[in-house]
Amino acid sequence: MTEPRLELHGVGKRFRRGGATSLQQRFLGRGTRGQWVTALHDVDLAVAPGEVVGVLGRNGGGKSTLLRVAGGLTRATSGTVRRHAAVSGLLALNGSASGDLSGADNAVTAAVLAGLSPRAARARLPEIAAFAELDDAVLGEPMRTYSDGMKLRLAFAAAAMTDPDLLLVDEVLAVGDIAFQEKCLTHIERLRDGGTALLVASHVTSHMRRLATRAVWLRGGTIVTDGPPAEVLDEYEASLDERAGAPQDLAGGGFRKGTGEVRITGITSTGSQGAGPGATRLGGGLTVTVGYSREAAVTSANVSVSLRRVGGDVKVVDLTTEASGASVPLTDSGSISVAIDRLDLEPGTYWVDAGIYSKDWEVPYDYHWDAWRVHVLGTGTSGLVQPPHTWRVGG
Amino acid sequence: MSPVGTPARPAPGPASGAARTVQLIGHLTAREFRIRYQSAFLGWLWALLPAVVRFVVLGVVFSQILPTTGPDYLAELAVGVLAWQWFSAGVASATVSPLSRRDLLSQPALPRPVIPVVSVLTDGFDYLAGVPVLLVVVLVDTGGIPVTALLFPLLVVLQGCLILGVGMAAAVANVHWRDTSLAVSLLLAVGIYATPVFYTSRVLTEQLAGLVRLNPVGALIEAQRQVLVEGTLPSAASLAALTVVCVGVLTAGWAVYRHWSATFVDQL
Repeated sequence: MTEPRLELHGVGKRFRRGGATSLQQRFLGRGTRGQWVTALHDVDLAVAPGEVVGVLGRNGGGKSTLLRVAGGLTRATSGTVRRHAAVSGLLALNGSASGDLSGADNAVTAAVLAGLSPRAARARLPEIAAFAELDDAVLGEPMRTYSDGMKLRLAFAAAAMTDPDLLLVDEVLAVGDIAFQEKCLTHIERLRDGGTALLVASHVTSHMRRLATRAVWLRGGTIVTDGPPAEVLDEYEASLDERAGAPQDLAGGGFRKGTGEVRITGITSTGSQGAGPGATRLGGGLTVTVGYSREAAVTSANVSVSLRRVGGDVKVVDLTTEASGASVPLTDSGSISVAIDRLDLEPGTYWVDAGIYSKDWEVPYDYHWDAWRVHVLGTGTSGLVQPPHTWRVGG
Repeated sequence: MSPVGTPARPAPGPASGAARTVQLIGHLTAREFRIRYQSAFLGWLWALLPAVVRFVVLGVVFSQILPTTGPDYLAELAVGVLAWQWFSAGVASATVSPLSRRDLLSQPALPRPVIPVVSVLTDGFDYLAGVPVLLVVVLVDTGGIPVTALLFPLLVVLQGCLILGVGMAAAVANVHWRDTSLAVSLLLAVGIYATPVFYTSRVLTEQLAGLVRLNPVGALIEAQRQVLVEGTLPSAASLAALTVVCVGVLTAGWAVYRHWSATFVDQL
């Protein structure tokens, strides 16, 4: 058995969330001191060369905190963290890029930040460019001229091309288009087989099944299961289904599942241009309002709203309160709405599915699907979205 | 040059701790400098131009309104203004550096002190760009540059230590209370008058001059004027005191920063 490159023993992490950050808040605010949150509790973990340890769990389960503590970004409150190799991380892509400097410049900096010397980073540039599928002419352009996809590809390539001994990856494998994702996954596999120790957090279970040599499931900051990926993943997926219960028919058509501690009373969609209830015009906005009633003492929750083409499986829009900042406070009954400024979806009919979940996303209270519809009016084409566009003919 | 010899224990990664830190500081400082000036038509001349304009304007204004300015006032003013400019820009940018460069805080392979060091050094390059202008002003105003000017680089290094020490401590405070950066700009706005920048301590009463000497920035500026303009050496005692204070402030600021920067990420 080779020596592990990363060892965590009894690691705990507590911090104050939402604490006062200005004197005014501290003196005048009520209860703004913030609450102590236990993000990790008594975590034991070791990652050896050639291993990919996959960290599973819903958002808020402690995955990101675990990676931060493992990478030394923040200090553990208790327990010990030992790293026996230089650590590099794919934690936040692209944060350090400057729009005024060239792509090549930014790629070199990203590689230097990931652990290379400036000279080694410049020597790696051709490999980085090839991986990111960018040619020399493009690399010389200022980064502000790049598309988001190009930026992400370059950021991933620069950070990944550094032959790290110990690499931490947080949810960044789902970047770019499918072909580039495949390339990233293959690269991670190559690193693994070449003896890199990897700690990977993701909620994409298919990636985990493919990459992980071992998996741990974190819930509420505690490791629930630790073992072979197939077993842990099966258990994890089963638990998600089990807690939600079996699908039930809704009286007005469609289905629901969930524990019922909070119930969805209705989902209404209103277009921004007076297209009538349940409809909007192409290029218009849409407000989706989710009405609820509380059946148990739940003070706050996360809400998701997604749109699916009728007859399709792909969520073309998937919005959550968490992605926009924080969970929402609940009253005995009320409503939560999300305003979409421009929808730009292809004209047609869509299912508006919505769910209300516990703050840590572990418990689905109520999830309705195939029950509420919205019509996008206009002239259709054969794509998925129809952004505002103009054709011009050049000389 | 690559590091010579092999360490007793295998070094973690491609470069050992200190060498890696120096590499990072060098790379990131050069990058900041390029971001600041590369896209401008005049490029790095912009680092030099403000110093020139400032000296000319202040020299004209102050020599007109102040009754007794002394013979080498313009040169003394130039020393003070340039030094204060670095102090105030450096402290202000170091204070906000962990917040403005939070992307760097999410890099596991980056030692935390690199962040304020880079911001103080970037402003330090603006200062260095002004030094040739300063030397020209001294040459024109006093007719020569004294031998004691050889001590000037040491005073510049001490000033860098002072700026970094104060900036690191303020950076820690600013992560916990965002009021800090506002308070720091207020103090700096007042500080320029409480420090012998536009005047020298010679024009003050003995009591006030004693008070001003307690201000390390003021003491540094006065010492820089002595070696660069007057051509005299500061007393060994005052030089030693200055060294102890500047290095002490840096050590204290560094220690505070080291301790608290380990949990910066939790506060962002």
